[in-house]
Amino acid sequence: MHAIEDLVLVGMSQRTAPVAVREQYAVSEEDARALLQQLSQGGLVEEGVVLSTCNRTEILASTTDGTQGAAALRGALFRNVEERHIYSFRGVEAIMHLFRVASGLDSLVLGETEILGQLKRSLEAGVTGRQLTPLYEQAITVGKRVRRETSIGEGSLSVARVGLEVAARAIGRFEQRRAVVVGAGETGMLVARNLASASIGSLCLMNRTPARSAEAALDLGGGVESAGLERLPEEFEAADLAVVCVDGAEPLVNAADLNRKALAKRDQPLVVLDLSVPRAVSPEVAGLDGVIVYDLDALLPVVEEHRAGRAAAAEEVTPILIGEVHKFLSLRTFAAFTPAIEELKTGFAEEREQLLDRITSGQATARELELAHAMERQLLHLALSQLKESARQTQSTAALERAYLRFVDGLPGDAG
Amino acid sequence: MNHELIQALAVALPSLYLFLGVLYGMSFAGDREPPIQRARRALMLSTFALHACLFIVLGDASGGFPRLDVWLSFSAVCLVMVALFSLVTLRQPQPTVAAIVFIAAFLLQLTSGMFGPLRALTERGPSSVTTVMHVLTVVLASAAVMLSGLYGFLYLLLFRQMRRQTFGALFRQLPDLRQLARMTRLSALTGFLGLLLGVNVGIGMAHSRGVEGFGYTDSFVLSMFAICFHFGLIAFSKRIPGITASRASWAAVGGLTLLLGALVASALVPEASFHSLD
Repeated sequence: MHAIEDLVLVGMSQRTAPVAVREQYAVSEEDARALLQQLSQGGLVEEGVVLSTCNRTEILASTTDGTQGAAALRGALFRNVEERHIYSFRGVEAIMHLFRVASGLDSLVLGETEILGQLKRSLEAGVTGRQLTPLYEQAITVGKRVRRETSIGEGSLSVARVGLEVAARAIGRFEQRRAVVVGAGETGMLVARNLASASIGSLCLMNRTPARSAEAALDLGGGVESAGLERLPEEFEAADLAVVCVDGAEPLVNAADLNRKALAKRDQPLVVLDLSVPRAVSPEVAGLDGVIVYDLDALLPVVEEHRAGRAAAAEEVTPILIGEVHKFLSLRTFAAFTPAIEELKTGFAEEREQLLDRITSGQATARELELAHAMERQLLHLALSQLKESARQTQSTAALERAYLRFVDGLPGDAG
Repeated sequence: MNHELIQALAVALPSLYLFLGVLYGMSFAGDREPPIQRARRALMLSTFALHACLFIVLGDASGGFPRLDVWLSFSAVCLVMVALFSLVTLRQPQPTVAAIVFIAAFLLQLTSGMFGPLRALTERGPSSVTTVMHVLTVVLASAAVMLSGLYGFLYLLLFRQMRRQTFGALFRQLPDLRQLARMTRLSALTGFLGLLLGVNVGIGMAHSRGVEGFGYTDSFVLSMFAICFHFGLIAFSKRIPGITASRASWAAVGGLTLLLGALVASALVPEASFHSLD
């Protein structure tokens, strides 16, 4: 069994790095696969999963050497990044962090549910085996349990909803307004659904692929327009609210692409929400007359307000998390002992047969057979009890609780 | 008796308006606001009634419609501004804006009592319908212009907060930008119509009295029409390309400053007032 300390996690999130830094290290699914293949061929990393969302990029790996493994992961994913933007955990702390992420405790919006889908996809794209597959499966189970049994998921917000709440301060009632959503991916569709349920006056969905935006508009129901990106300047001119949620290395919306004069003449400002990482709206756009831009970092104070209101819900999660970490560690230890237990049983049975043959020359009586089996059972029971006791002593719940509270205290930002 | 009552009201009214400003200011606390809505509404109605009483007493002393000097005009504008605000926000209360309006009312009422003795003028007040209409429309217009300026100021504050991406109490508790812009323009429209009517009635009165040299080309008259035109532009700015809500708000704040300046100037330099031609 690998030592637990060979489990290594290295990453950056909205707690440790602003969006301007995070966007440089976002990793697509394809790049993640290629990176993990490369790392696993090196011999140091046996299994690995990369999680890259709008708020974090992190890699969890099972390595042959924890210290060297952490350095290798950092070099592979976060070269030239300042130390203060990176966090690194090993062993039990890595597990605690993963379970917190799955529970939504480490999310920008406390208790949000998008992270579970992101974890599933990252597991599918990862290089996993006996170490990480059960770990991620249990993390996802923990995430579902926490949301089912505590109030952390109640009235669950998403960054999209927080953004729309902010936009409403400028555009007022949604019924009489026009919105354009750029990007028909998961976040874009979530925004579009939120707008539709807020009875937005008119909505246009835009995507790089017009066919995809048409299909997505149909999914949303009647009355939703669709367009390709070539119509972006006209749509921005006509809209009261523009929400941009796309993937891409370069900004999609630049000041040069927009009609500055038309925007400056607008009676009310255009509100632009940039929910992309890397940012898809160039910073110059915020300086244009008649435009107000909010990116993810700008929305952080509003999100923190909601977080403060959910502090009590976060406390409900702690005992569940500690229990689940303990369960995982115990199961892991038992799983490691299973081959040893099977070997013990086989070995004891063989020894019993050999001993009986030697003593009775193959002519054992029923009484002698019964005695031999009884002794085998007693000795096996003693040996297994010793093994189980050592597994239980891996870590007691009380010790885990202390370790968890120390871990949370040491996290950067308000860890909730 | 009248004199004592007037003095008592002169002292009480600014304090009451200030207290109302503080009570309505608690609405900036959002969910943490104490449950005082009924009490402050009752206080508001009482203050309004007391202020109206002041003018009833003044009218009684003047033998009918109260005769207003510049300082009493400040008080009249204060009363009408509060009444107008309460009327337009009857269906959709705006407690945070009310706090600002009541602080402005406090300042107007304090100026009225501090710089000019609040006293019943013994001269007879206006008796003709045209004169009363002139006074009422100009006071209404001035109150509307005050409101327009206040709403414009709040629009600019909120807009600035949004551009700077800050989320303080103003961001959370003020009406949204569109509502503020709408109220700026609506108040400006009331001011524009009031001024248009009031100035024309005043000119009509001057002609009927045979005041020499008084006509539409007179510099006083032209300056009043310029102010009227200024607020007309604000009122209809949504239909005028290039005058954004932001620019209209700046214009409203500028207009408010002009109005206050004109009122103060006419008090300090009586020769500058229309009524010096009487």
